[in-house]
Amino acid sequence: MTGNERSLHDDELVARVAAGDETALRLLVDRWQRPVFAFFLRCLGNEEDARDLAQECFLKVYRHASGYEAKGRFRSWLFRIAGNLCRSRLRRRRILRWLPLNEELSSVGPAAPRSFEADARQEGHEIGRAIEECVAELPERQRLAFGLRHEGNLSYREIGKLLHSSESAVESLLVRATRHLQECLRAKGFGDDF
Amino acid sequence: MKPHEHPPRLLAYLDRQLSDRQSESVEKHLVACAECRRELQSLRALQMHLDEALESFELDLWPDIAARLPARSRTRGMYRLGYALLVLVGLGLGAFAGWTSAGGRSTSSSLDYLAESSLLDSPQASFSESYLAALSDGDAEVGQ
Repeated sequence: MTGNERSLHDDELVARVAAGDETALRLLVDRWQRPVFAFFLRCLGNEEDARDLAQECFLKVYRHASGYEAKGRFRSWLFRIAGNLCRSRLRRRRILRWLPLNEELSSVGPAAPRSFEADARQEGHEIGRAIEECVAELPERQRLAFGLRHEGNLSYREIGKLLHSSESAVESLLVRATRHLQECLRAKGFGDDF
Repeated sequence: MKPHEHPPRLLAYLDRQLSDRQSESVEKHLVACAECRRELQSLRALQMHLDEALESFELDLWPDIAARLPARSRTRGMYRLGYALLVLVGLGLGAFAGWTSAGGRSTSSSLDYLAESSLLDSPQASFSESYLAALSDGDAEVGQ
């Protein structure tokens, strides 16, 4: 990869991906994998699922790159894909909840334990662990909206389109999610900041 | 302190989701309200910690993504097809060899016939002549 390629705009990279350029896809992955993964981790609360869906998300970028309209809103397009993937996975979990459990199903089921290896690696980052635990307590819809806003940087309108809600309903979801996080963090002893 | 009857839209303000006019209104309120300034500070701190929380996560999704790319899958598919064809050819050859050794005048039985035949011992006959003669004899034998 050359320095010139690294400086290419997302829109140009997507155009190259549409032409089958794997190097361009790799650049997009390098550039966006962290927020995409963070979104899935916060939305799903499970590292394995987050990795799997983050990969799937970039594969969808590869497959649908030719349909992307280059308007400088790659992030928004990417997180719309991510949001839809996350919603599908959450729906699947809800369905699995009603099926008779066996070992295979339970591994992808709703009761998947949170795996915050990230925080375990960050010794002393207790607040990071506390934040993830508090995010995990949010209802699904709030978690999804929160992830799309924070990691995806989508506008309330864009989130509303994804969730089939009005802008004010999205704002309300986010206010409730934020309030819960503040209260949860205070309860865990991080009262000075929050 | 008494809570606001109509709390200002601080989160939407921080998320830059308000119009200029709405933002100005929030800012005016902030000048006069210490509680809302503290709340805004708290929201900013939360956002900062959220940003930092996953920063040190080791992450390289590319190898797994590259392995799942359709083009590479096609290449793998071509290899699989090649292996399948090789196996089929191998099986076909094996079946043919089995058939020829099981019955009829086979190549090996023709060669056995050659070995038994005195034609090979004949110093006058070239190998090709001997072989053709043996084959024609063999055909006659199968035909009987």
